[in-house]
Amino acid sequence: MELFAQRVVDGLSDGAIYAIVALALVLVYRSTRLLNFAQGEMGMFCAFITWQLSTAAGGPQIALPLAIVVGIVAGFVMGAGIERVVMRPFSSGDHLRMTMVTMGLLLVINALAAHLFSTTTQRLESPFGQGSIDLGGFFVSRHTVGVLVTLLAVSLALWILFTRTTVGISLRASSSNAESSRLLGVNVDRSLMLGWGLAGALGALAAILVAPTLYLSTTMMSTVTLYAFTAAVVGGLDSSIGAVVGGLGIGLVQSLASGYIPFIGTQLQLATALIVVLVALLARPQGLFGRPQLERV
Amino acid sequence: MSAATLLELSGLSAGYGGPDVVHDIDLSVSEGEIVTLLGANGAGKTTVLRAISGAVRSTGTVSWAGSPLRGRPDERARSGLGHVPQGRGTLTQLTVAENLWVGGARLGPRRRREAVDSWFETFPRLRERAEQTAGNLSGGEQQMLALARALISEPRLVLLDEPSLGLAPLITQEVFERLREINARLGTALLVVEQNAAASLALADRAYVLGSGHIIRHGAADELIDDDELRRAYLGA
Repeated sequence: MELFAQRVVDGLSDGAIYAIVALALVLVYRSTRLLNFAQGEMGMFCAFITWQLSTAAGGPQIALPLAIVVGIVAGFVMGAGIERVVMRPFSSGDHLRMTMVTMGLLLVINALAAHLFSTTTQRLESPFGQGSIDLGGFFVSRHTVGVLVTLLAVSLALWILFTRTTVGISLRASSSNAESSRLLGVNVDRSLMLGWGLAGALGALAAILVAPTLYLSTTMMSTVTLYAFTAAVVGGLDSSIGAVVGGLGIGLVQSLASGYIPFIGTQLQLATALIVVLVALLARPQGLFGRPQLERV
Repeated sequence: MSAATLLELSGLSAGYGGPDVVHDIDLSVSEGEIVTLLGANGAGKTTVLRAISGAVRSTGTVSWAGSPLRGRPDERARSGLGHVPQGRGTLTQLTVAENLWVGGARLGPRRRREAVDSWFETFPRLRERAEQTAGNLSGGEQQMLALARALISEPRLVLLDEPSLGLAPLITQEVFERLREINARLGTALLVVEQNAAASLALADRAYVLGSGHIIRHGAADELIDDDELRRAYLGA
């Protein structure tokens, strides 16, 4: 029983990271109908910035929390900047072309990170500290609890932003119908930039949170991003709730399947995620929380 | 018309990148006036409205209360130009209340809340559905929402693109009555593009008729309404 609980908590903790990256993917998808393949690498780059600022020899060695804030802000700036400088010139073209651009970005950012920070695996401390918390018999690491609380806080903050603030409502309006929003006086270009910026910040946060367990490297985010894509697709690509539920679900399935189905182990974990996607999409093609493309005219 | 000219197009040509769709359009709307732009399907009516809003490329001049109207569509909207596009432009994933809120981009936060409340009083049916997703409203309700949403920021002129499109005759009648009432109460000028010539001529003060991208007639609405030749040739009645 304790082992089961342990696996559930581990699964949720991994799932929380997938959920945050999935939220970032959904944010961009909703406003541009585009899958940003560079999302994970953008986050990885920012995690390296945090590492460089806080721990690297020769760096300024500023306090970790401050370095994390700088990393997240860098994610925002990077996301908004990429939208403005790289994506916007392609925005009138078809989606395939834009998707190819994000794949190009993946390679460029990865190479740039390797060039600037080297390909050596590094250690980034958890902002939540070492040690465990005793939850009536079984122990949960402080990091795990911290990650889950962070997901909760991020989800709540996004919900408030999107339903209670003019900026957030304008962003949703721009995603829903850009042309109509423009005619109503909404600065759609600025909304798009903000959406990419938020996605960049979320990606950075996820990478900073995953680095203490996976170790920081230029390839750190590749599997995480794959799981996040899976989570976003299962949840329904245009649904934030779907991203969170999908992320946690994928984390759970991955943890329990590799724990209880002997032949899966660690090698076939990705395959379990694929099976979840297939089953979920056969049952609900638009994803668990996605909207079917129906519109009244 | 003794009122000051609010919108004036002179020599306006516009299109979508290829050859121009409309050519050398001269058209004006005065403060508080209702003007209708008629024409067969494909005559270029929508293009004229989109050019006024800056949503398509155009040459010639568009002047707004005496000065040139320039900039992106959202900038033009914030200077007091409302535009209800064809198909109503419903923000389908937002609630009815949020749709109205977005419409108030020109107002400060406090005025915005008051304005949403006051439009709910004008359209009680929208208030009943305030928290529903706007995509689930009926066509008529979406048209009312589009109207309220365009008017909430107190524009001086609203461009309406085929407000009767896809609506049952009774609902169309209601929409036109609302337009008349709003114009009388708030003094908002309207430029209405319509295929339903009879209904919009009955509403309008003046009318322009567009044929193959050119203005081919214009005059007082009650003169054009009796013009048999015009009806047969261009208005499909």
